[in-house]
Amino acid sequence: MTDDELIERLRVAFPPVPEHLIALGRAAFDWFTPEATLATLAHDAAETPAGVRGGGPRTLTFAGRDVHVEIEVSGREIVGQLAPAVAAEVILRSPDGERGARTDESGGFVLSEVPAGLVSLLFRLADATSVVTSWIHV
Amino acid sequence: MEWNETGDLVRRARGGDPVAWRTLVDRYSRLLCAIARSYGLSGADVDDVVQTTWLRLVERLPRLRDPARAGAWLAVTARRESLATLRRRGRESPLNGHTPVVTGPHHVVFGRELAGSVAAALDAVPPRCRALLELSIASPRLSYAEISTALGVPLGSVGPTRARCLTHLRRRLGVA
Repeated sequence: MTDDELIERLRVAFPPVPEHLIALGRAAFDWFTPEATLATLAHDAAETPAGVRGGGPRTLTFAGRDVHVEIEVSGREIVGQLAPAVAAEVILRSPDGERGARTDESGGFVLSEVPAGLVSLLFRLADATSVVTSWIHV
Repeated sequence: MEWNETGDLVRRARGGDPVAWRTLVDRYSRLLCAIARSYGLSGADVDDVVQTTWLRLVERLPRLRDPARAGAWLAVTARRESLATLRRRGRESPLNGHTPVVTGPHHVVFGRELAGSVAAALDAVPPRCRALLELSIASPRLSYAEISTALGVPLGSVGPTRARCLTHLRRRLGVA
């Protein structure tokens, strides 16, 4: 059997990529927000070995061009702060959907019942610009 | 900037074209899936790696430096996400750690006996060989550069490694 013949047989032997995986890939495009500036993960306390299993809150920092976002995740709650301190609409995005909230006047916010898994935060600022964080697992 | 079809699709997706995005997803899903499995991941973990990788491309889309190399970018990202998933699993069950799942019946039963025996033989070759062979049959074809990035093997070794994997497979099949 030549290599080419064997490769031909492999084509039949490998199962097609599962449909639900293709669907996940396609759905990702729904979260395309080209107008928003990306704030990327600059620090994640969970990535540095703490020596403690689970338990305490996890702090994460996202750095954007003009805005930084700091959040603390404990259980299913996220407490966060925008820097500089500005008021904004906060949108909690997860693959299952999105949910809106508002920061207080000094840029602080609390999100409860955060779904487990992938989430990203989108902020719509008063000056009509917006900032979006990288996706993280919570 | 080098022109190629992937680069063109990325630029169109960047402009908001959903058809271009779907074409990218159709083209690279097998790559992402094979990478996650080459790390011993299965089931929901594979889903998670694939989904996260696509979301990362979406978030980077407006500023991706070299659209023509998006395939390699996806491969690197999927490897990083596979490692991150293994780390998270390790944290969640520190006593068990991660045990690669022994390959289950990935393949559906095929009518043709030979296809069945090739599929069975595939389950017996090492995971990285299986991944390399899977990437070799991707349609449209993946470049050697994409395959080399996906599996972390030097570009010049893709051909020879593939030949070795085919030999492995032949031995399992008991054909010359």
